[in-house]
Amino acid sequence: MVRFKNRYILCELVFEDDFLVHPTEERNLYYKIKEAIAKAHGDYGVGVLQGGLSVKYLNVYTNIVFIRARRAYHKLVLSALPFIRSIAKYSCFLNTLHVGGSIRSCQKFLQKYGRQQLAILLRKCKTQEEKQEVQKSILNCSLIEKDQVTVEDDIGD
Amino acid sequence: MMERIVSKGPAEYFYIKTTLEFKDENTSIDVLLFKAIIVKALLSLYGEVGAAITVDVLKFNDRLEAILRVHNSGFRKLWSALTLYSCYGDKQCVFRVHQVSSCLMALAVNTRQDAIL
Repeated sequence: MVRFKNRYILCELVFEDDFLVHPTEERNLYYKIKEAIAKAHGDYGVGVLQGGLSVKYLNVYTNIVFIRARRAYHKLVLSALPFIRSIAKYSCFLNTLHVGGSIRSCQKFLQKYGRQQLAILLRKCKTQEEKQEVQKSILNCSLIEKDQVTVEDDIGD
Repeated sequence: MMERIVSKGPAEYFYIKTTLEFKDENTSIDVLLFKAIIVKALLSLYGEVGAAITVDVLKFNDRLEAILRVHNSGFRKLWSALTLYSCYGDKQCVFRVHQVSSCLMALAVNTRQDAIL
């Protein structure tokens, strides 16, 4: 037996307006992706990808999406993704962050990416309170517990 | 004097000799419509990426016979799109691909003509 090989595409949904939570559903996104593939790659693209394509995970709070596709044809999905302009009447686009061979590797990347984003956020902070909030969350996501306790005390001072 | 031509590496262009047959035999189309039909065939099977393939109609006559030239990267797509195309509007039609070659001169003769006709 040979296993089916997949590629997992890690995307970020970027909405035009700054609502906190958009009520997007995995199903809506799936149909949008399929539509985009049908437009860009025609019947061939749809036929070749129908078997493996699925939206594995969608987080409406962080707007992170995992898309699964067959490895042999995942490039068709990648090239079709930029043509998605809206989901459930909210205009948005998909920002591809990572393409991985397993959900686990994508998740690892996501953690790393999240930490980097926090550092960028820290630089953008204007007030002291904001800075402290971000610093706190950076420390929360670092793994060494000992340091966490001591530095948190520093912030308290 | 015979001249031997050797081409190295992958062929740059492929040439396809094809006929468009309509179910209604009296249908006549011009070369522009013929090209539009080819693009339509590519569009339906391979989407906009496929429709972007450059296909040149080198020769076209009233019996709807044509010689197409296509770059080797789009050759397979073009051939399969022609094969799977079945109707233009509400008129049923079919592309018969007679000869395919990487060398235009090879389309001058058809050793299988008896088998096809």
